[in-house]
Amino acid sequence: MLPDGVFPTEMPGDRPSPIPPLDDATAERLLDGRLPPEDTPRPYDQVARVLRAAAGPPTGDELAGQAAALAAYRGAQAAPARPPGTRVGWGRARTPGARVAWGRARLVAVALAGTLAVGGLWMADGARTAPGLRSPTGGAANGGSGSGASGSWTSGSGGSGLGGSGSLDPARGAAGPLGAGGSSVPPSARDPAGASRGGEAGHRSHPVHPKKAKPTKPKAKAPNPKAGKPKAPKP
Amino acid sequence: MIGPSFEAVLDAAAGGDEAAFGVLWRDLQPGLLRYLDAMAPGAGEDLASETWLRVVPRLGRFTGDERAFRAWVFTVARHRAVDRWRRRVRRRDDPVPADALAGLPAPDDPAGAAVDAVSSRAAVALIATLPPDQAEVVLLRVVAGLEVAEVAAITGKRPGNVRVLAHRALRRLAERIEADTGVRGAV
Repeated sequence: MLPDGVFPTEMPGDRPSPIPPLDDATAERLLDGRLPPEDTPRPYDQVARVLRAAAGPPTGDELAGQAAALAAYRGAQAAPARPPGTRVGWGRARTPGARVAWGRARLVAVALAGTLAVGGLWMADGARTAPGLRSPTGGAANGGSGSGASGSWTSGSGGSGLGGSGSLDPARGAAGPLGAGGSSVPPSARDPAGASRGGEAGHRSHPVHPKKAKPTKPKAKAPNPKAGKPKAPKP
Repeated sequence: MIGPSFEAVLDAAAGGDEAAFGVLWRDLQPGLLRYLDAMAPGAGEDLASETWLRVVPRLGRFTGDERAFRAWVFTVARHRAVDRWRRRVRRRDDPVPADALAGLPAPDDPAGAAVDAVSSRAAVALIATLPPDQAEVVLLRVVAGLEVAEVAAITGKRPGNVRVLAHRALRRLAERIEADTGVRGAV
């Protein structure tokens, strides 16, 4: 057993040292440079000399690069300063405040997308099971499965008017709040082509019944088959 | 240390005063070189230049006293050294230039050289032979002149760990010097 009450086998990494450890106060003074070597207990007096030399005055070669440093400083001063908070290229915002704001915006966007997706699924499910909402054109069911809340609400009211000019209004399609969830795409009930394009999330998250959707197409296209083609919504 | 005039010097340097920047540079550059030479042998000059390139554009945004400024500059320097270490780990087969080898401490007898000549270079070379975390703590305490809490913040360690590392480093340095003295005395 060692004098400090520790068995050597308990500390396999520490070999017993012939050098006694320093007390905290002396070690602090040694590291601060406040303890001159002649006042330092042996054998740490040599260590004090080494530490004093390491913190010694600068040598000539250490200051030899001053001209180059000043030139670099001049160049950095001449470069146009970027106002704080501006973004560099496509990278992240540099200042902490802008970074926090960017993170919050992303968080809100993700939360909103999730809410809309869940809401869309719920509404689609409700529309499918509620007989009163199941129109012959299949508007509610298809719209709900397409792209979330906005699609299902508008398709509920305009489901029977498939092929009408309102459902294909690009402005309405573009008015969707989010791009990520596909909610800016017009409802699939009103735009079958758009359903396959913009309702990707809906297709993935909720299987559409193609057998129910198909009968709506001939009915819808019959009144004005040319109306849908030229006015196809653009992303 | 610059002392009471530090704030004025920093403001002037941030405003484009070359003389003020020179004061900052002369105060910090030797310590930076010694620290970086020990952390990344042969690359101290380059890393110190990279450090200043990072520091200069942000001088105007810094708020704090001189100790905080020193801690910040050495934090930037440490990040440069860590980045270089990571690059080297990714490309282990890089050939080492002969110039870099010239700056390396001699492996034969750094302890003897440090005690005999007691030059700053030899002393730093002896400290650099310690385990890296111990060497870093000693250099930040002694060369950079930072307190335990500042070193802990820079290295991401607890203050207690920093103290323990410093104690072990001092003891190991004493052992090496004693062993070297004994060998030379026997010869």
